Order: sequence, then C-alpha cells, then structure tokens
Amino acid sequence: MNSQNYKTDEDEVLFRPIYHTGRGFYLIAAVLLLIMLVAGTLYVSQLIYGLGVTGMGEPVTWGFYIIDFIFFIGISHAGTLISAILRLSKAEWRRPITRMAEVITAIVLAIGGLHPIIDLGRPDRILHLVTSGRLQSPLLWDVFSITAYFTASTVYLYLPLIPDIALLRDRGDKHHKLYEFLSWGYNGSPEHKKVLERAINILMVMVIPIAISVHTIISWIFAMTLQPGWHSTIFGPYFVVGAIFSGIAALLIIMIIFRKAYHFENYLRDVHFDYLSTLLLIMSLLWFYFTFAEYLTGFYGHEPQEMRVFFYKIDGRFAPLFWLMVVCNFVIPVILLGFKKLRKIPGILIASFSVILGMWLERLIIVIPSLANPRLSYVRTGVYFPSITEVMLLLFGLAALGFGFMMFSKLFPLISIWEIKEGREESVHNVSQRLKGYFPAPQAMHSMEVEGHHEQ
Amino acid sequence: MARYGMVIDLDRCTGCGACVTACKAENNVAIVSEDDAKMGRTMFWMKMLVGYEGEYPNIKMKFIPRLCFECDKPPCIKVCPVRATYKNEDGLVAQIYPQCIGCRYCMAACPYTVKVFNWYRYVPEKPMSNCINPDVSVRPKGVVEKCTFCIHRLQKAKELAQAEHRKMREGDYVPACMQVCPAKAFYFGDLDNPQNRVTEAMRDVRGFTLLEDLGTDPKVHYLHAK
Amino acid sequence: MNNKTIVILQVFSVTLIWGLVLSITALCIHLIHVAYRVHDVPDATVAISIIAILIFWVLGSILTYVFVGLHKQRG
Repeated sequence: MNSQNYKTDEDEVLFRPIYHTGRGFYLIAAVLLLIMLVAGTLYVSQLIYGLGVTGMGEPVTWGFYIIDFIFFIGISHAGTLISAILRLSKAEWRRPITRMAEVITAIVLAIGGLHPIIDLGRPDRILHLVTSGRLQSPLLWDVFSITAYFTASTVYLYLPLIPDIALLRDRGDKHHKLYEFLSWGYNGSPEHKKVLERAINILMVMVIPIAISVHTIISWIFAMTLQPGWHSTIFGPYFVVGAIFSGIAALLIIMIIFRKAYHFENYLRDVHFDYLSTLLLIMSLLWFYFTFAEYLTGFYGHEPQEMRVFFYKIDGRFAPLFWLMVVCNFVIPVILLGFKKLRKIPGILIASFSVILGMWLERLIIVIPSLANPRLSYVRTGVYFPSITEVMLLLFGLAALGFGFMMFSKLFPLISIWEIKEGREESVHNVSQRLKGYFPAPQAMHSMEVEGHHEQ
Repeated sequence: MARYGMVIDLDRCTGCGACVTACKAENNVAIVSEDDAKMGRTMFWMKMLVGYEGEYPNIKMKFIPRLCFECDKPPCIKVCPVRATYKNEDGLVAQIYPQCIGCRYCMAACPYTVKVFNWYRYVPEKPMSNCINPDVSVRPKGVVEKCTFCIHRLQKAKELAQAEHRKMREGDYVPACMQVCPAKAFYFGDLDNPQNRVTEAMRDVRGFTLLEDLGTDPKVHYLHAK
Repeated sequence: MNNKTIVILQVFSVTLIWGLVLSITALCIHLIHVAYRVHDVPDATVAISIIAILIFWVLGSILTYVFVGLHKQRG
C-alpha cells in the first residue's frame, strides 16, 4: 500500500533494485560465491601447508599477492579521489557518478587490505605488528595509511548516503529498522542539510591527500629499497597516476554494467561517459609520460644492474607482457577514446577493460623483473610462475568486488537520489549564476572606465 | 663488545664447496625436494656463486663463497616491520625466528639476496634426521632465516672463556665454513683487535667487498688479485 | 525494537569510531615507547605517529559533529 504511493516518484527507477530482484541477480551472485568458496578452500590449504603452495621462490619472493595488493588499492582511487575532486571543482555532471565511485573504494580497499596478510608466511603472528611494530618500516606506514583511507572513505561514503537512507526509511517498506538506525534521525530540514554539507566539505578536502598518500606509500615499499628498477624518486607520483588511471577504468566498467542491469540509461547518459572517458584518455597520456620518463632515465644512465632489469622487460622474458602493457594502457585507449566516433559505450567498455588488464600487467612488470634480477650479478635470474592458489585468490578479489557491489545495490541506491533531486532543483539556477560570474560584469567594466579616467 | 668480521681469500679458494656442505649440516638448513629446487627454493646460508671472466676460449671461473655479509649498515633491518632482525652487541645481524611474521620484505631489501624463506615445515628425512645439530633450532615454516656466523658457537666460546676466567682468544670462536676449508681461504675474528690475523688480511691491497658503492659496509671482505 | 534501542545503537556506532581513534592513539604511544626503549629511531616514530593520530582524530570529530548535529535538532 505504502509503496504504491511512491510509484509516482520521478526517480522510482533508482529505488527499484532495492525492492525487485531478478533471476539473473541470484545466478550471478551464486557464481561469484562459488568462486569465492573455491578460493577460500585453497587459502585454507595455504594456511595449513605454508606459502609453499604458491609459485614463489628465491629470488622472486613476492608474487601475485603483492601485485594484486597494489592493483586493488590502485582501483580504490577511483572512488573517493574522483568524487572528491569532482565535488570540489563543482562539476555538476558528477551527481549520478559519485556514489558508485565511493562504493568501489570502500569494497576494494577492504579486499586490497587483506592481501598483505594473505602474503604473510605467519599470519598467526599478525599481532606482532601491534606489540612491536616499527613505524620506520614502510609496511607499517601502509598499515596506517590504508586504515586511515578506509575509515575516511567509509565515512565519506556514509555521510552522503544519509539523506538517501532517510528517503528509504520514509518509504517504510523493507528493512525499516535498519534504515531507521542508519539514518541517524536525519529529517531533511535546512539545519540538518547544513550540518551534513559542512561535514562533507571538510571530508572531501581531507580525503584527497589521504588517498594520494596511500598509493605513494605503497610505491615507497619498493622505492625505499636499493633494488634496481625500484629505487626511483618518481615512483610515488607514478603509482598515484596509475592508480587513478585504473580506478577510472574500473568505475566506467561498473557504470556500464549496472546501467544495463538496472536500467539507469536515463541517469548515466552519454555526457557522463563522454566526460569520464576524456578523463581516462588524459590519464592514459599521463601514464605514458611517466612510464617514458621512468624508463628513459634508467636507459640513458646505463647502469649495468639497472640495464639487466631494463632489458629483461624490454626484450627479455617479460617483453611480451611489457609490450602488451603498452598496447593496453596507451595504444588501445588513445585510439578508442581519442576519436569521437569510437568514443561510444562499446568502445569505452573495451578501452576500460584493456586499461584494467594493462594496469595489472604494469604492477606485475614492476614487481617481478626487479626481484628476478638481483643487484648481485652473480646470482642467477629467477623464474616465477603463479600457482593455482594465487590465480584463484586474484579471482577471489574480483569476485568479492562484484559480489560486494551487488549486495550494496540491494540495500542502498547506487545513484545518489538526493543529489539528483538537488541538482534538478537548484543547480540549473546556481550554474547559470556562476557562469555569469565567469565573465566581466557590465558594472565592473563601467567602474574600470571610471578608474581609467582618474588615472589620466 | 666485539665486532666480528671475515675475510675470504678468493685466490686460495678452489670452489670445492666444503663450506657449503658444512654450513648446511651445522645449521640444520632444510633440504628441499627436486621440484622445489627448480622453483628456486633451495636453502643455502652459504652459497657458492660462480662467475665467469673473459671471452672464450680464455675463460676463467671465479668462485665466490657468499654468506651473510653482516653489514654494518644493513638495509634489511631498516625495513623489518616487527624487529625480527636487529644488530646485536657483537655487530652481527641477528634474526629472531619466533618474532618474524614472514612478510619477506627483508629478502626483497637485501641487495645480496642472502636471506632464505621456509616455504614449508622442514621435517628432516632418514639419514639427515640422525645428524641434526642440537645446538641450532630447526626453523618453523613461514619465517625468514639466514647465516648467523654460527652464533651458537660464539655463545659456547663465551661461556667457556667465562668458566675459565679468561678473555676470548683468537680462534676460540670460528664458524663452521672456516673450520672445514681445506684451502685455508678464511680469516675470521674480532675486527676491533688490530693484532688479529683477520684485521691484517683486511689491510691487504687485494681486498674488496661486493657492491661496495651501496654503502652497506659489509663485514665480509674478499681478497682477489686482478 | 523500539525507538530507544535504535538511539542506543546509534550512540554505540559513534563510540565504535572513537574506539578506533583511541586504539590507534594508544598503539602509536606504545610504539613510541618501544622505540625509545630499544633505541630504534624514535624521532621518526614520533613524527609518523603525530600525523596518524591527527588524521584519525579529525575523522572521529567529523563523524561526531554530524551525529550531534542531526540529533540536536530532532530533540
């Protein structure tokens, strides 16, 4: 009865996924759960037998787990960073995108944060980090920065969610008590709006440096060692650029999939994909610039140990992967996104998938070749091939991302409803006012003339 | 306190590998299966590195017995998140097995790749299980280990000296690799004592250390005439 | 579940974040203490701790500000 009154809501489509679940949803959820279950079993065997079940050895002592760790934390930069920057720059087209971006961040951070623990030889001794942690180890910096980022981005996801939760609470259909609890008594009054807005404004300024610090610190795990190919000052910004790059690609993929699945065509329109894919294109060029700068300085200096790693990547064992990375991260996105004709949904989807693959390869190409070619040239070049456990745990991460996102969509709207409503009601007026402010006002020109006369 | 160091004369070394074997037996270093060896999981605290010099047909083989260099400024200690590795009062880079969480960051940070990891639990098989050295604990699975300069021998030597009410003498404490070397290529002792043969050997013009320019100040020096 | 339990649960959720903030602070102080005791670069430990503690306190404050702000007007 109650819900029928709301059928008239113009944003009813956004509420629909919460109340209606199709058969496809259960099917996909079951498949994802199955993948997670299989991977979980394999992880238990790793716990029992030790890290020997992986493909790691010496000198390649870090493998898929660390690569996936960098990769997943990189994707997390989609969210909070993008949405904070767009909010801060008052980009009105952000409104239907921010929520999805923030959800990706929260879920992926939780997944990525687990990877260093999976990688530990003795996960049972994890509490040693608490009892006798050394804050001067980059790994501890990571523990702190990821905890801070996870807390900040969850809060940053939650605060803009409160008005939507209040909307759901007022509908009173499903999970009424849960929404009542989560809405914190929000009633949409101007005072409440002001409190929320102020908090969001402080948070979005704060979240940007935290997000940047997270991936910088991950890069410092490598850059702080003396290994050839790692010991580079450019690594911090290089990783951050790559992180934002892969994050936008992940965001685009999720947007396209859920637009199709939940019929959001009217909300996620061509302009959103156009702007976001332009951003992806810019990041692709930026990524290429950083990669080029990184490798050229290494090559020009021609330090023998550096060159061993360099040639291992360029035309050694890793050459196919290296050039595939360049194609995936640079050639394909530039072709597909550079021309307006190709910059349509299918093209954007292909480009995003290629960037995701390319960025994962980039992490692989950073981690493995440097380990495989130790500085001491008498040591033989190492080999690494991942075991089934490691591959399955990568799939686990991806499946958990999809599953987490689906679960979220069943509890909360994937597109920020209040922000859409607010945009519809206020921003057209605000933006036109703002636009007027961009150009010299007639009055101001007049007064300048007067001033000019005075000078004469 | 003492500052133990070592000099290895590569011009005397024949590459026989006695030091490698002695080290494995002395320290109960795990013996891994053939499959694991192919994956690079062979465990050596003392490893014989082989280098080739010159062009064919005038090739010269160069043997470098490589153990932990017990650096004075060790890059591995800096990165450990839990203080499982530290420099003890005798200048040795010590490893605390019950403290290690197995993150393997120190292995990645060591430019000499001297550290090894216990990928599995080591259960010594038949002939070897009879000659386990009772002075050295077998490491559990999932921790990093490395050459300790046979620190258990130092403990024994110290206790003996104390019981006999005297100071430690040169030769009281000698690691297993040096003891077995048939070519007498090793010199070992307290570097702070200028009378020791090891300090004398360190002043040799042939002396060098591996990757000197990294500034890790290894306490294992090599002698090699060019 | 009546309104009162919901309010209690809400208060509990805010105390959770302060639990996190305070435990991070305690952890930092403990780590500084250990670093001093074993002479293991205490100055770096202090510097990093200050940044970490500051960030978490600000985060906790923002959330509390929202909570108080939303509840004050209702009552």
